[in-house]
Amino acid sequence: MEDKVLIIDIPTSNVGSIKNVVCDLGFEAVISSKLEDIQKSRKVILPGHGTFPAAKKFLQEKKIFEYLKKYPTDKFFLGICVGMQLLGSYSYEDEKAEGLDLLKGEVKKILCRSFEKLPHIGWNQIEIKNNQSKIIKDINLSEENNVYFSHSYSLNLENLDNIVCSTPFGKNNLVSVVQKNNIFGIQFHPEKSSFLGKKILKNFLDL
Amino acid sequence: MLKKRILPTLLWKQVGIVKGEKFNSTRNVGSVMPSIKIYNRRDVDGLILLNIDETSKNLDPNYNLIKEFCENCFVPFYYGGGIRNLDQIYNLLKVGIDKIVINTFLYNDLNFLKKINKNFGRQFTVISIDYKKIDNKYICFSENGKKNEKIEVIDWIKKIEDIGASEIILTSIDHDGLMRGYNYEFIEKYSNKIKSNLIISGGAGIPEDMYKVFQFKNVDAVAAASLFHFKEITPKDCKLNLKAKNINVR
Repeated sequence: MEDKVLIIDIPTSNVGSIKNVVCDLGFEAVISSKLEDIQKSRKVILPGHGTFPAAKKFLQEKKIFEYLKKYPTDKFFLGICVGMQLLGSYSYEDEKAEGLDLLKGEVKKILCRSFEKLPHIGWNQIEIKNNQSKIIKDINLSEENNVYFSHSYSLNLENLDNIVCSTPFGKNNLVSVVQKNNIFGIQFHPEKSSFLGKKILKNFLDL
Repeated sequence: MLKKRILPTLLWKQVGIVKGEKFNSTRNVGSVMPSIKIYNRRDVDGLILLNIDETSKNLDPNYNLIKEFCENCFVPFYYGGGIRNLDQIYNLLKVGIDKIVINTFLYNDLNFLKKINKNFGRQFTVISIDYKKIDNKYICFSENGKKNEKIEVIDWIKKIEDIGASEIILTSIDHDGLMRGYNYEFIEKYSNKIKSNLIISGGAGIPEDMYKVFQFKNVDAVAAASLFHFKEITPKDCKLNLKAKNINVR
C-alpha cells in the first residue's frame, strides 16, 4: 500500500483517467475513499472535476476532510483542478465555504477580459515563476508549453512565493501550479495534457 | 493565450469506425482502438468518440471497451451516444472519460442538463446540436439526424445557455461528409450570438476550410472526420496551415 499512489475516489471526479495515466507512467494506483487507506499512503492525489461544494461535502462525509486539513508533513499531496482549489482557505463557488486551508488564499470566479469566455476550456500556456519546484524538474517549456484547462474558478494566493506556474488568462494571470513544502496543486489537467502533462505528473510520482 | 483547437471525430458503430455523407454513415473506415492510439500519438487537441449505433438508445455504453480506449488516450476525450442518466455518467468517469457529449436526450428533458451541471460542474458537458436548413431556417434534429425537433438552433441554444453550458458543438447535416467546406453562412449569421465555447463541425475537406471558420473570432474549435479518414491529411497539416496564417494553435 505504502508505495502505491492513492487517488481519492470522489465519484463526481475523473478518477479513471488519472488512474490510467499513473499506471501508464509505471506506478501502481489505488482508488479509494477510505480514511485508513489514505492515511497509509505516502502519495495522495485529490482529483478534480465537479464543484467545490460537492467535493467538499463528499470529503466531509467520508471523514477525510479533517485528516487532509492536518496533512502529515512527511507525505506528499497533489490536488488537481477542484482538488487544487480545495487547498485554499475559502471558496466562493455557489456560496462562501471553508477549504482545507493548506495554502492561504481564496477561490473566486475568473474575471474575464472582453474576448474571453468562461469556462476557461482548452489549451493554454504555462509560465514558470519558481524553477526550484521539483514538480517542474527538467521541464523545458521552449518545446511545448501548452496544457489543458477546464474550469471557471481559480485560486488566488496570499503568498506569491507559493506560485510555481502562472497562465495568461483573465484580467489577472491565473495560478496554474502551486507548491508549499509537501503540498502541490495543479489547476489544469496533467492527465489530459499529453506529453507535457505526463512529465509534470511523473515528477510528482517520483518524489 | 487560449489556442484554437482541432478535434477529430470518430463515429463508432457496431465494431468499427464509420463515415458517410449527410449523416448516412455506412462506410466502414477502420477500427476504434488503432484510431485512438494513432490520434493520441499525434498529440491531437482532443478526441470526440460518438457511438451512433441504434442500440445505444436502449443499452448502456460498453464500459469495458470504453475503459480500454481511455487507457490509450492522454488528451481530452469526449464521449457521446445514448447518455440519458447520471448512473451512466458516474460509470463513464470511473472508466476514464473526462467529458460527455449529449444531444438527443436533452430534447426530452432539459432538466437533465441542470442535474449534470449541479453534480459534475458546468465544464463537464458538451452539448451537441445537429441541424438542417429548412425553409431558410436552421432547425435542430435529434436521433442522429432523423428526428425533426421543430425548434430553431438559436432558440435551442438560448434555452441551453439559460441553464448553463460550457461547450456547444454545432454540426450541419447538410454539409456533413461532403468535404466541400463548413456551413459558413450559418457561422456568419449566428456565431457571435453564442456565449459558450463554440465547436464547428461538418464539411471540412481541406485545411483551408478550418482557416475560413477561424476568421469568425468567436469560434473556439473545429471538428472534422472525413478529411482525416479519406485524404492523407493529418490534424498537424491543418495546424501548420493555420499557424502560417497567424491563427493561434498549439
